[in-house]
Amino acid sequence: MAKGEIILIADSNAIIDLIKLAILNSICKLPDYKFLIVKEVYQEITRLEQREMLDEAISNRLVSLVSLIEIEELQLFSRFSLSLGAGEAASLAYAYYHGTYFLSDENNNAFMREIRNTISEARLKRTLDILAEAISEKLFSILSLKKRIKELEAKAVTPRDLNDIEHFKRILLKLENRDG
Amino acid sequence: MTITQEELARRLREAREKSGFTQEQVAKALGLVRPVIAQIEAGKRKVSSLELAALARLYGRPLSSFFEEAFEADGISFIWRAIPELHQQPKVQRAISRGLEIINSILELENKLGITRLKSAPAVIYPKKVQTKLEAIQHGKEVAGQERSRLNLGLAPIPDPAAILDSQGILIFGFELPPGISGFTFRSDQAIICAINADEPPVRQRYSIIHEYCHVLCDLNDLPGIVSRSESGKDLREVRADVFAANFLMPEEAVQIFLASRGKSIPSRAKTHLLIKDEIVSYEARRTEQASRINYIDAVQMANHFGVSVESVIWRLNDLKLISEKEKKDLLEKDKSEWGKILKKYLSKQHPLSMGKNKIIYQNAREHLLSLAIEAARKGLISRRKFIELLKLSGLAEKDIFMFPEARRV
Repeated sequence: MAKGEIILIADSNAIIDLIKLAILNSICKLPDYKFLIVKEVYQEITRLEQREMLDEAISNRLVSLVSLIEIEELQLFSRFSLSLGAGEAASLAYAYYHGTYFLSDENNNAFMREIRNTISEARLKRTLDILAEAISEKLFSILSLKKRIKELEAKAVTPRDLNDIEHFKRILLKLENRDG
Repeated sequence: MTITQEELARRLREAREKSGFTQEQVAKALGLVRPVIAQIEAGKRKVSSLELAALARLYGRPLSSFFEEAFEADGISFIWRAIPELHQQPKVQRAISRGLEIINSILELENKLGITRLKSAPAVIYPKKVQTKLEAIQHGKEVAGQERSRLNLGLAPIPDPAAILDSQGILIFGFELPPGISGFTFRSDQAIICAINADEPPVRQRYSIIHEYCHVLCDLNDLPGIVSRSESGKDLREVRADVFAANFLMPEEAVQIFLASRGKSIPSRAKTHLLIKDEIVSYEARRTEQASRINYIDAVQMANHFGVSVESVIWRLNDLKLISEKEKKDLLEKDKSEWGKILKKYLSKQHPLSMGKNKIIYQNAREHLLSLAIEAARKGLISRRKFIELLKLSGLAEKDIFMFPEARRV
């Protein structure tokens, strides 16, 4: 596959997870993938250190920033905004209109219903999927991920941080099971 | 229906114009320059989703309204035209925009949750165009009596005015409004909504709630909405609403009964009725000269009894000719004095209605939004991120948001 063949538009949680795991730059170097985020997602990343890392990835052209400007995109965005967050609604509108993949770990009913009604689950990528691909491409290892999660766990303070750690551990477990 | 870029541009211009914003003000609010707004509205530059959402928030409209088949440019925009000084006060303007965003989110969630009010307006309205002040006073008085009677309220004080509006299907919320604006009322597709200035003292807010109720009953038939200003005393609609509120909260007979129970101001040989063991007993009460004078303490107690401000009691007593102009002036002066403040502080301390000063006296918009968001999230009608956005709009801090199971990733 040529570079840039799979266009992946990521929601804010997916991007934040990659930043927290310190693998955003590595992941974005995955061959065959092009990473995009909509401006709404960029705005949802409010923590300074996370914003700086994202800015670096954008300036290194590892991640591209896109806007919704076509009338059909705006209309989709307006429709999805009734049940999805702004970043999700804009990302899904972009993915649906441009026929791209959508990177998100959300799985609640409202989110999945919109996915099934639009791009279908076939075009929904999970962090687990791309981590597995990155590991097979030797961009990083399960061991390095495990180490990073332990570091994050030691620093976790807020309920949100703790919730993220639980999520990372679930992903790690699935990766280990895949690895056999 | 898909609209064209040109149509969207036209709708954006119309929405701005109806809201009374200049292109310069919009540009400033969005962090853009004026020519960009001009180009967007002329259809020469495409508007982004981020800009469109910001414009919807600024004008207080739902984002979806720009794409509806029948575009309603007016609607809620009347507020911006009715309070033009909002455009000069960015802080208050932001508060109003946010308040309207909360209302829009509430209505969207109610729609999603299939909440239908059994009533979307009072069963009876009393529309009348009043031409003179006297007519406004008479109509306000008549409607107050008729409405109290229709609602079977008898002569008892009204503990919770907001509950009355709620029982009539009216949504009532508290908002931070500019000083001098006690509230506003408007009709949306789904409901009639009253907003009360939450920065005013609770007794004043109770009065404002009933004042706005009069606008619902008498004015909304031919107006999209109405803004109540404390200085708009010359507006006949405001006069009527003030008279309505005074008569509704303090019916003449209830005032007389209250005063008689304290040996005050009843006619020298007034007939009084008492209910003793299921039997109404009438008797003639005599008063002494000393007992008949209404003093400041009576006014404070009466204010406590009816749950209104001492000032509105003094005006009401004067309206009912129970105190003279001179007595009214003296009592109002006492009310503003330090002594008056101390007296009110101690006399109001244990009274159930005045204790409501520390309680929520109407459904707070943010709390209502929060409860609807939880319900919608539990029913799987909104995503986790949408839930988080709505909680932020409700004013929750991030550390509290993630205490909700619906905000956590599973």
